[in-house]
Amino acid sequence: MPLHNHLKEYRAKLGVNQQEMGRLVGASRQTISQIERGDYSPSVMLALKIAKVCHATVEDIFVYEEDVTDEK
Amino acid sequence: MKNKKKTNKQIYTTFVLMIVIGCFVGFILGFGGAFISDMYGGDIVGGLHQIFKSVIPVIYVLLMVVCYGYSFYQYFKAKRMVENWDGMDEEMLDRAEDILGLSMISNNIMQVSNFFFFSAMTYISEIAIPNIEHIAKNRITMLAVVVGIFILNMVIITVIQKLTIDLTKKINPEKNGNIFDKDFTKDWLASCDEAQKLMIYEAGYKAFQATQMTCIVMWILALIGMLLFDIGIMPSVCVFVIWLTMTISYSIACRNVEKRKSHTNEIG
Repeated sequence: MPLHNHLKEYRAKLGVNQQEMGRLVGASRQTISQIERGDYSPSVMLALKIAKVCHATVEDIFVYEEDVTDEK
Repeated sequence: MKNKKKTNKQIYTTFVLMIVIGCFVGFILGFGGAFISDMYGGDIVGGLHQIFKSVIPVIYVLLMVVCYGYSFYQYFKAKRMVENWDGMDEEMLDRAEDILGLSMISNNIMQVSNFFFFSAMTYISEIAIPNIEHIAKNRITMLAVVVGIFILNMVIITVIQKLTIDLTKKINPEKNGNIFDKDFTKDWLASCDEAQKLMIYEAGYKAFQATQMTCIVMWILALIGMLLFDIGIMPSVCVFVIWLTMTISYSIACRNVEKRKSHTNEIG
């Protein structure tokens, strides 16, 4: 089930690149890149850290959408 | 019901395909064995030795050219991308890391192959000299050449490793570790975050599965070799040691992780 996110938009609002974002949340540039591409779902800890840095809630940044076709 | 029929069809098709491929491979090996036997007067093992002796140095040189050429090419391509990075285009850095990864893979293949070819070249340097009176002098020369090539390759491999690791650290400044330090892998892993550790663990498990399958195949080949070509028990012993080490390491690691998690839950 996909976990979409608006991390790129929030990062742009903060005016930081992926490397700086990684440094702020204690993750690597690679991981920030993977999260933004939807290739990696962060742990609860990392998601909370990202939300704190972006001055938002986890639900604002990460959106959990159930696959409707599975139910059909 | 329709889905179940489809699944069974796939299963039976795969099963039949495996039988057909097995028959084909058996035919090739049997035909190849008979062909080599005819070519070398019934001595399959001797025939294989002769082919081995001719082919090994050529493959060694070709492998060096291809692996090093490819490693350096990809490394310099990645280095150019990093040097030209404007600080904003993050996809460029992702591509550079991907290319650097290819360079490392090629270098790792050469590293493992270097050990094998050292053994292979040492082996053929012994059997290439039939005259027993000249063995002592020529063998030392041959072995010196083989050792020299091995050391030279290890130097080149280490240089490529150093260059790729240094470039990786330039792209990812949080990374720690010096390849000349015996704790390099420990330091490197400690500097990885959750996503990178997960990647390493997933890749490790895939490697475990692939090695498991390879051990089964090698055991079969070692058994056939022992029964039909009198290669002795050593190949089976080698397969056994590798397989057992892998299985025990994996089982103990699983148990330790499980215990650590239980202990953490108790504290929580």
